[in-house]
Amino acid sequence: MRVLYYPGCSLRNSYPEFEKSTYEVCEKLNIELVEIPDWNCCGVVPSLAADNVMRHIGAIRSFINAQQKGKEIGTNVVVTVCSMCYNVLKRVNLILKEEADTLKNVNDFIDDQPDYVPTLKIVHFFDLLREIGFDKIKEKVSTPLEKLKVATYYGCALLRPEGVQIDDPENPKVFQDLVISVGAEPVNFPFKIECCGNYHITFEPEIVEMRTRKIIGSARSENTDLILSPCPLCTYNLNHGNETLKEDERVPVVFFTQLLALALGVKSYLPAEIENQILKKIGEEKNV
Amino acid sequence: MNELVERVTEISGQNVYSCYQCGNCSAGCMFTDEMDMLPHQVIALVQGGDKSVLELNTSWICASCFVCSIRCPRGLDVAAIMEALREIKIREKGFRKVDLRKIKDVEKLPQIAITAAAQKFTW
Repeated sequence: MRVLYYPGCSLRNSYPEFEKSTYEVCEKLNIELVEIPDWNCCGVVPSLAADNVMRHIGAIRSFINAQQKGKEIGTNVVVTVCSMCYNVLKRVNLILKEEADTLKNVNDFIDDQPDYVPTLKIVHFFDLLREIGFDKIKEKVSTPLEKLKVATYYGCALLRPEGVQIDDPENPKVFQDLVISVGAEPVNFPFKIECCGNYHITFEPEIVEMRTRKIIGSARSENTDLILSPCPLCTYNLNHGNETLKEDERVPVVFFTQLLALALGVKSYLPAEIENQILKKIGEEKNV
Repeated sequence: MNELVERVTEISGQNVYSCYQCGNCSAGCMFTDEMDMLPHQVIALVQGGDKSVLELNTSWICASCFVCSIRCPRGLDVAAIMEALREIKIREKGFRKVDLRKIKDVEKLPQIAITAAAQKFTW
């Protein structure tokens, strides 16, 4: 499988372990990621103002580059692993597909590039994994993560608003299906679709603390070993929440691709301490 | 249509009069603890053209998580209405919600946090 790949800023600057573990997983699953040349910031949160398309321009410039590269390599599929980038790209692309006036407006505005013809298909990495098939992924697992209890945290961006959802927005299952395929046990986690507080971490971190303490507490009540996250900002916020809790109330947060990499027997880029804890729990202690 | 409804409609593309005050948005909202008034109450004020709604913190606390929007039985994008209320203030001459230079721990934060705050709090 060969797809266009949009990395996003956070994977490059804040959380390289998210991207590196993704590449490891892709190699194992025969997914070839072709990076979009000269991609730029997606905008992070798309404007909800119907009368302002300026904030979509960043995403659209990346679409134009993706469209050209896609022609060269013969695909129109763009994949992201960062859930916020996914959300923005998906929504902006939908708007351009549905609103001919907006499309014309931005194409006229971006006069140094070819027009964007909205034929790209924006998908999240979960979509690709589902397409490959969880039974196929299971066959490739070399370190089954038995006995490992994990909380599958979706957050907002993979599920809302309508049009972007990768699964049922109220009761999603794709993440749990993935976790089951690598042998781990998804815990009962009613806070899986809740919001971490998003950008309030910048000026009102106490809002993020209020949110993430509840989310972590929900995971903790099920004796969860790990919270899995698909989002750099959720990860940052959950870790911030952890810092405000007593040590025995915390639950470590890692990216889902890191756990997948560990199960597939490739480099996980997990902190050694967490990797050791996981291996100890599944009874396969080795000297790292 | 009063002046406030006109602005909100223009910016959000939403028909606020279709809200019948069921309160589903407020029931699902995860941020109500921090809000001056609940989301459905804010919409009622908008319907009535009460501009004091612009001075409440509700729309600024809303983090666009879209739980309200996917649950509204009238199909209203409530998050977009909250954005419209923010935008009305942001577009006022001389208005300044935040000073981006005063973000705490700015070196530690992932840049998406800062960019998102800039998108939501500044024009």
